[in-house]
Amino acid sequence: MREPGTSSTIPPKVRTIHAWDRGPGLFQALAELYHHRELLAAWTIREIKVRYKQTLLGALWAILQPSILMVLFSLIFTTFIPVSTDGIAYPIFSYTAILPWTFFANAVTFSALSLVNNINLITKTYFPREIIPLAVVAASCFDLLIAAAVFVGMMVYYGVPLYETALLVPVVLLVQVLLTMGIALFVAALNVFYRDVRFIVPLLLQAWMYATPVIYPLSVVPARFRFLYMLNPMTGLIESYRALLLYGKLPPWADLGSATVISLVILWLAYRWFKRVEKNFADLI
Amino acid sequence: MEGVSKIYHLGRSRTSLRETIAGLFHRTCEQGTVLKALDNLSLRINRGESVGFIGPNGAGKTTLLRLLSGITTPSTGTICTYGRISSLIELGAGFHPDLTGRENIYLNAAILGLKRQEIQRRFDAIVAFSEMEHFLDTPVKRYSSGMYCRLGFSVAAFVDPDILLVDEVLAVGDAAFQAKCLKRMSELRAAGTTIILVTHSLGYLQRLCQRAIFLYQGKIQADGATSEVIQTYMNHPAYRGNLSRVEPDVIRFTSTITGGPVAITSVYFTDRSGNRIEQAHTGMPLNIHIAYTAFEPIADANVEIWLYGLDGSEYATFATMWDGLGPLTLQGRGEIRLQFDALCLMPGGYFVNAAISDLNGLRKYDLHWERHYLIVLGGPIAYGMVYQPHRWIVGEGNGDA
Repeated sequence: MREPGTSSTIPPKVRTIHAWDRGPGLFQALAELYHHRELLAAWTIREIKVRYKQTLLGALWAILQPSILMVLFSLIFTTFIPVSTDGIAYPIFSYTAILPWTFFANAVTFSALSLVNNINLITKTYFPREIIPLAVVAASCFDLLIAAAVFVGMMVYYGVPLYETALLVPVVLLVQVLLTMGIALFVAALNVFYRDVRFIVPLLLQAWMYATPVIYPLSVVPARFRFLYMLNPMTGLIESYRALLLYGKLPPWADLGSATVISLVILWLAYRWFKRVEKNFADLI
Repeated sequence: MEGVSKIYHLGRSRTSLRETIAGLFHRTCEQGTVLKALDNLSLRINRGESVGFIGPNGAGKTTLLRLLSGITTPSTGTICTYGRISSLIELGAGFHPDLTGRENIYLNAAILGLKRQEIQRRFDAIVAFSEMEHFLDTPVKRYSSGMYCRLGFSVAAFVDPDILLVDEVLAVGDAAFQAKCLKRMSELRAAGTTIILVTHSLGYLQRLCQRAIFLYQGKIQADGATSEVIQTYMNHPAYRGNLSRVEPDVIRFTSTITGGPVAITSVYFTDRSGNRIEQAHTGMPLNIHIAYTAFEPIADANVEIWLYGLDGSEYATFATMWDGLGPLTLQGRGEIRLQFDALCLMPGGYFVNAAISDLNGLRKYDLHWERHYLIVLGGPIAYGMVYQPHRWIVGEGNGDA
């Protein structure tokens, strides 16, 4: 019953597993991931579908979550404790940062649980495990795109022109996705070993948000802390978004550059570690 | 695979930070129990072979499949596989309850390694095989467990792997669907798929595999032609050890009744010529003897015999009353013999349960429940659930009917 042509299109795959293997090399791992790209796509679609199945508002949640935060912070920082935002209305000023931050925080939070939530799959089937957290990141990208609709609405409402620098936004987004992937892989694997992670992650994310100029401008940060701020790759990314979208300026290249380097290093280290410990998942989970 | 071991550290997995930190300080005192699920195993399975693994629970069969599929990695040794592997270790692993049957087919097939195009090409065949056309757009959480498994098997059966790993999953759906699964596996085998099967059903093993491997405590005990390995397995203490493990699932009567007016003193088996045997053969004559001692004469005795599988399923029941023997009078010591001209049981292990009761069978004078064990080995070539004694007549009539 083998369909003609089926077996010939799939080259016989030779797989050798040695007990002493320390996990595949980077290129081998990437090749395998590429081989399973359709599973990554299918799993991403599943993530998106499952996330909003049986919720009353469905994908509207993707919009509501950052919007409500934006409204709350606007209330606090325009009425109670006004902050200077260099001439940009506070709501759109903060939303420009809350939007990518929500993407980052959701992707990391959901991926921390992703492997453990799929115990059955990990103990019963084989495929490159990074697909599970990576699909979570991809699904969060989808949410980001939906929530971006609100941003467009706000641009019109607040009369922020569409600068041509906005064309560079995808580059910044790409760096952010790489950073998110790195952190997502790290926390997902770590949570297999230590279930404490799922409690720590939301806490750390909250602290991280306050340590990033999301709800306040970088200009209010005292100069002596600036260096520390630049170690945080999210700072460079968010400052770049604001520069490109709100001020029509080129991004702060030094900050964006260091954010890119840090993101790549984090991703590389996280992926390498993930592939090394991956083989223990089924036994430990 | 060569020199493969798999070691599990029982009760030593640390899944919280606290335990690890504690572990740093107490490293010397706790060493945990070490379980060698597989112990230095070496074996070679050739392309297109179908091999069945048997052995009692905990022998390492499932561990072996998980190693082969790449789910876990060996503690020592090397495993080398060629070709696409599809594992049916659990049906419908990866189904999401909220997604519909259709969505889950796509997802599950992708997990098993199919490309979208390949799935589309097989989609109709998968649906037709599963007989679930009407439920495709229903979330699988509304499925019955049978439907769930049927869909799971159907997806896996159409992946067209080079190597198919099957773990005890054939017991899905009704008898008709099981037959279909077996047929599909035979087709795959005929198409050159290497099939590696783990099962407790010796019947499936005989139908699907030419070669069997008996695993016990992580080691290979026997490897060879299926029927020979089954024989070795059934004679091994581990197989009989299954008896005690089966018991809790079975409705239990008191195994022996004391103080009754009559006692069953022994139950034994003989062949055609009256020699005592412990192993019977399918399709061959068998006598079951019940020896008794009546402490006081009884005039309303009814002798009952049940044949049970090790899994607790009832194969056949006999009673002297039903066969019109009327009330038996038992006095002193004596024997009752049940004679089969041709044993209809297929190879396997069985309990022979016996009772002496009153006429309507309600009051048991004595009962031996799960105390007597019969091994049935292969006889004439036969496949299926039972052996039906038969005769062929050729060249009769002229074909007009």
